[in-house]
Amino acid sequence: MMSHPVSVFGFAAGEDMLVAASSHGLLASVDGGATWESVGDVSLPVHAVLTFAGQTSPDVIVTGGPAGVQRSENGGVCWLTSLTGSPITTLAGDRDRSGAGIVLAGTEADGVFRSDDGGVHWVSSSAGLFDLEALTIALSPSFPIDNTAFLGSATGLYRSRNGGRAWRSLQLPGAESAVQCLAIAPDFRETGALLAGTENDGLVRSADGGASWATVASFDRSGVDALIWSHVNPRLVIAATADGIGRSVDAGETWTHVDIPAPVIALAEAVTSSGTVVLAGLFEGGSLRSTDGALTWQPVEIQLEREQA
Amino acid sequence: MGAAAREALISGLNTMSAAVRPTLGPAGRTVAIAPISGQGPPEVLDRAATIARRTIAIEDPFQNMGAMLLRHLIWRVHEEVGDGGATAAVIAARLTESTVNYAGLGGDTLAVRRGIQLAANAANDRLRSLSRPIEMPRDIATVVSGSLRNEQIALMIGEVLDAVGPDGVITVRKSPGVSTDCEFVEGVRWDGGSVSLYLLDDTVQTTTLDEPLILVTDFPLKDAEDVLPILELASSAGRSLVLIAPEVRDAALAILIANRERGILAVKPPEPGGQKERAIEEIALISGARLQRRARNDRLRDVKLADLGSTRQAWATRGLAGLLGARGDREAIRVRLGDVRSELERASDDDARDKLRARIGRLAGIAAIVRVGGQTESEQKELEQRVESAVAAGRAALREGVVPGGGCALIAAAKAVSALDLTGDERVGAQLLARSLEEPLRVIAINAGIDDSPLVHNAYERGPDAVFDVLHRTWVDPWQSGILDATSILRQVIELSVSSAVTTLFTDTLVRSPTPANAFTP
Repeated sequence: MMSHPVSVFGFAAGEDMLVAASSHGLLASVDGGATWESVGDVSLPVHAVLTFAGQTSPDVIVTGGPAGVQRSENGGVCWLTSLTGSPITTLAGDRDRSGAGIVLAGTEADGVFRSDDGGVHWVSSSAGLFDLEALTIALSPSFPIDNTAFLGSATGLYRSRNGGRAWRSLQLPGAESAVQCLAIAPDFRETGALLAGTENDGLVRSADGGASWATVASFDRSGVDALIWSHVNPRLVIAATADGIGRSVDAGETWTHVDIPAPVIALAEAVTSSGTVVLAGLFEGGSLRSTDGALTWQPVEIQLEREQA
Repeated sequence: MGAAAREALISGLNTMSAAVRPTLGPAGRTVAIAPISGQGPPEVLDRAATIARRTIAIEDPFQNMGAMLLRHLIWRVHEEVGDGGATAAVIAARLTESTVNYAGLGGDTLAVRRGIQLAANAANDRLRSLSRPIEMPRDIATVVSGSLRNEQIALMIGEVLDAVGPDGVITVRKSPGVSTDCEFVEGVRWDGGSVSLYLLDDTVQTTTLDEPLILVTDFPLKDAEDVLPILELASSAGRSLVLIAPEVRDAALAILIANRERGILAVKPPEPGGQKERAIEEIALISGARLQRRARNDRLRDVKLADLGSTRQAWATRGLAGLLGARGDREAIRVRLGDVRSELERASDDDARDKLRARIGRLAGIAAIVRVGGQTESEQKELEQRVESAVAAGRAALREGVVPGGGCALIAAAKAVSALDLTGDERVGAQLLARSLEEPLRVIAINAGIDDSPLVHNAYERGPDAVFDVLHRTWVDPWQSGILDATSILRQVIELSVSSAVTTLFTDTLVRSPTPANAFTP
């Protein structure tokens, strides 16, 4: 096993495995995130990853990176490039539909692209965006019904209520700040609750589907790099900042802080055969794993190359 | 003159009202109108505004005056709010007839007029108190589905209005096909296009530039020294260049064409008339360029790199130009958007409103196109008008909210009017308006084959928390069932109907020309 200063940018849960987007390509884990191995080329960074239940395979994997969007229908064995151009920064997809599905890809400089066949074909979908630097996209938990998605950009936040075909700017408190991450409550359809993490203005919260926003005063960090809202424990929200993890057990009202040795840039929750895990991607620090709802963290093993016999 | 004049007016009003009454409500019926000329089949219509527009005259010239008054009201309602023509017609006809008859019996017309106007204010206040905002696309679709009578297109209108906002640009066009669909326009787009075909790619007649710098000026470019400094600036920065100017010609154009391989576009700014100055200011704002102004004696040789705007992509064809990902100051754009929206609220005519919406569309970076299809040309044309009305009704609903529909909000308004503390002929005027406000529910019931009087009585008893679902013959919660009307449409209907009736109240003599022309324009 060789160790590298790997940055992990994002995670996705497949049918039988977890996948991670990293500076050294795509990683996969079959033991609930305890250990990870490379899938494919380690020289090409992957910035975002998404999985679907496919019609012919358990996992259709869609990745985004500097080379655009790649897609695999056989768990990462073979890949097809389906979108090129501006580097991909974020992916969001509707996993409820097998085979075909809506996928939104955010780019560094060309706004958003939309696919309605699980990432095979793409069309530009940036109507209403002031700036074309997309940083994060999140779909409503009830996206098949409400067609609602949110997009964080370098200059603010947008909402779409037609499946990503058009976007409207949302007014956040304070001066214009990049919106770097989003977390939508599992009961969003009933409560309209969601959180947005900004670059300079901390955490902001909406309770009406994004129409209005207020700063979360109890969150005392200025920058938020990643967010997740637990679907297993709907009161648990976890935020990643430059110096660690923020944890709330009251749906974002109050926060406690956990120090982490390296900047956390990605968060994910996964339900595995051994229970619910929370995964943290670090900048040049690999990944951490928690089995107690982000209270304590353990390093994970990342194997980029197989040992020579 | 006198009673004869009043009788003729009322007769004409009722004739026109009778032409549109059958269309009111979900169980409304159609009206067949023979073509004005030729031997073609009759048009079968179910929209009051279209029926009114087609009805160009009735036989008796004095009755025709009454008919044309109501026709004008119906069309005015259509132009101002897009829907509610039949509702306005039945209210105005009933109110006019009752007030004119009362005046004929010796009533104090001034007091009656005061009473009507006080009652109209009370009715509108009641509607405002019942009004609830709507926001979701499906709520918009519910409000417009009644007039559209097509759920799929109603959902589309809801989606479009939610995406562009109540003040956004929505262009309704004919589709070459049979189906109706919509498209969202990305970025900023305007009519104008390249100043010269020689600056466009020969094969596709379109040029697209990535990451260009942008110069925006309000004076023409004609001399070489107008453009050379800018070309050098862009060249030294390694960027392509877009020039937006009212005119580019002579030596300036020749130099641009000669250097087009470097990546150059020269396009006309938006708005050839009217709000041209504002529009070009806004293009500069959107692109982050410092507008070069003639009035300030700006000289292009003094332009610096910081004075130029930029965008991710610029494109132009023969007749269109656009920017995608323009990099203007977002806060400044937002402030300007607010100003233009305020201007829109004060706009008094359709032309001004269209121009202001076009500016909003550019500032917001989004516009929508709804392409209307149809099996036949007449079906397509009718659907196109219906879609335009639905868009107007949807905008109205988003701006001021909605009230219980089916005529029941007007019953609540009538109840509020009846509770006014008035005396004498002022009270009579108010009561006449209250009775007129019942008329839409009566007509809806009659059109559905339901006895109207018990229904109206029931509506008074139940209040605005229940509306009668004519199709299912049952009382339902308006907010659950989606039987709703746009508040501003009903308020405008009341105001315009009252205005029309009050005008007629004082009419004592009718004068006609010997051979009156047919009124093709309402």
